[in-house]
Amino acid sequence: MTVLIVEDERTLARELGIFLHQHSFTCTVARTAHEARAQLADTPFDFVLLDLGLPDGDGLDVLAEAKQNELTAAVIILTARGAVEDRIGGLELGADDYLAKPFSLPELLARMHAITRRRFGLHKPLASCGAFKLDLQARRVLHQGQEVSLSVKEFDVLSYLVLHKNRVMTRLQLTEHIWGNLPEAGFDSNYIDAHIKNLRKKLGQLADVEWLETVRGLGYRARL
Amino acid sequence: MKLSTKFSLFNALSRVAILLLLVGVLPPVMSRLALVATDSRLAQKKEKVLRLIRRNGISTFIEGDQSSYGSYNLLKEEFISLEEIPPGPRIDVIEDSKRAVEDEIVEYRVLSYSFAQGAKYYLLEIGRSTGSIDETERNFRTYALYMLLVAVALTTAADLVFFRYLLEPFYTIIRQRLKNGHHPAAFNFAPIATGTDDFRYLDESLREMMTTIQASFSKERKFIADASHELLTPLAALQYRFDNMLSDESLSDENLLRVVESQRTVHRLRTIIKSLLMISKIENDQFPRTESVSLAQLAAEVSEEVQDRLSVLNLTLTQEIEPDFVVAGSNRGLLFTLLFNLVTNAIKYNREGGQIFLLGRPAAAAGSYVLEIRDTGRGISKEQLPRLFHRFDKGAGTDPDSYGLGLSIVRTIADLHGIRIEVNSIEGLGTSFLLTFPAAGTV
Repeated sequence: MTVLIVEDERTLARELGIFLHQHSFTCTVARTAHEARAQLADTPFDFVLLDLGLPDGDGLDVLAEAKQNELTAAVIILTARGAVEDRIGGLELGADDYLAKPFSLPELLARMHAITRRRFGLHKPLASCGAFKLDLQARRVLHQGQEVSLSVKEFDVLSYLVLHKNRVMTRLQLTEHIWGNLPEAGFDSNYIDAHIKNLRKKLGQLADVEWLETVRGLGYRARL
Repeated sequence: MKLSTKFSLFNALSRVAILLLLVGVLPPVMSRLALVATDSRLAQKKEKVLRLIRRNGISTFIEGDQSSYGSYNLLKEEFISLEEIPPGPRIDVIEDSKRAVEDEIVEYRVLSYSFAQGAKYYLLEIGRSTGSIDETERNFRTYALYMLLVAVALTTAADLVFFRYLLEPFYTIIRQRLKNGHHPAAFNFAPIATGTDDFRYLDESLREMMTTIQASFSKERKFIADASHELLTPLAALQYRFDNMLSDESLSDENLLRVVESQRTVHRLRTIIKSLLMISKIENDQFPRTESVSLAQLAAEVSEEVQDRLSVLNLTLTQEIEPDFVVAGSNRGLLFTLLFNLVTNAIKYNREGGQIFLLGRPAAAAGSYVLEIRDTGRGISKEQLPRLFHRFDKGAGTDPDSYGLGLSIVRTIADLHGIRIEVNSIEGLGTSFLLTFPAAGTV
């Protein structure tokens, strides 16, 4: 999968690149609207991560122009301009998703996966975790073909951990993933701990949940 | 007192003063005038009589051995007498004198004139009773007074109407420019129609002031946009770096813990910046208020959103919003935030197995509505209550993870929507937030 990162902040673009590279994406960086136009005219990308506040123009203009030129890439708008108009404007122009900076990188990855599933119809075979199967499309957890009843938030936590398997997810990253769309009501990791406890209880009745690890002081990991 | 009233009053008073002056001055003037008029009439009559005598001889009046002639008109208002007098100095005077006429004394204005006719001298006296002069004068005075009174009343009424018309633009300026407190973003710069230069000047000056205000507001808006970009971008860079470091296998556990701590610090910074920007944006009117929001529906959404938090603490949330209330001209997202912040507080400061109530009821004032958020938590101390909505003011007993901004966001959103907030709390028993929503259309 190829990604064009349109971002004028060097550090930011670099860290994005490093992260996506680890997840086997091939990245190209454009630092200006001009560069972005040139790249888009040249190469077909699978993803465009588009920052709106570019030094030489508005990212929305780049997007509008690219869409006129039959852009096929999935576009995620990344911006600190958390204005509602930006968001609406971007989505109207055909962006697939919108993330207000700063989001966490695992969150970006989760969104990219969601778009991949939606857009490219890549029905991932069920992700397995231990004795369980995760159907991300239908948001279900199956054990020997039987559905395990989980709450919405519990499923969110579990699928996030499985998506980023073998990586430690901090409580903060999990909290942001679950509550990200909400006004910040103060960070409280207790809820994450409670969800993990419930997950272990519900899944543990059916099979071994050793793979759902607590990493002391850091957070949780799905070791698969 | 209104300007128009003052003006009209002043005018009326000045007219009354002139009137009184006239009434004071008139009698002597009038009587003087009456006297002059009388005297000239008497003189005319004298001329007439003398012409008659010259033409027809004295015998027309005095016949044979008579030595005098006298004649009164019926009401004794006038008399003429002619008598022969011994030669002497010439008499030609007009003066007041009393005469006895048929047993009554009457005051007359008398013209006495001596002349020679043939070899004899005569004295002609023509009199007019002063009573009749006075009456003329009195009538004249009464009429004049009435006329003046009517004139004063009419002109005062005319003044009032005219001033009111004249000052209409003034009140329009106050109404449109100053009273209907539009947000600077929604200023109306259309000039107010007036033919009065002073008002035009006032209106222009006010419009200049509005332009200045509007400029400073858009400057602030721009600052908010810039600040959010300039502050959040480096934070994003930091956050990605920490995200990447976490997956670095070579990092020692100790350093990993440091990274997690740093990540939390970045998160904290970010939350504070986002909250402050949100408050500024609300105060800057950057959220459209065009939606009608049902409180029952909103409460249901909020409680669904916090369901998992409730279950963690084993809390029950009861919602009784009957009858429902629709908040017109509001921003759904902001109202959600307001209620969400209050409910999460009610959760955070509750006790294991406690309760939360969302209770809605019509308020005492017609059309307005009260929504109560009550919890059975630890309560708020008396000292803390007045400082509850202050930014960054975290009282004792506040959650250490709190940023002290949740309630100031609540307050800002409430102010924007004209919602009154009242807090009652008993330490150890719980807290109740009362939101009073104004009747539709009164914001």
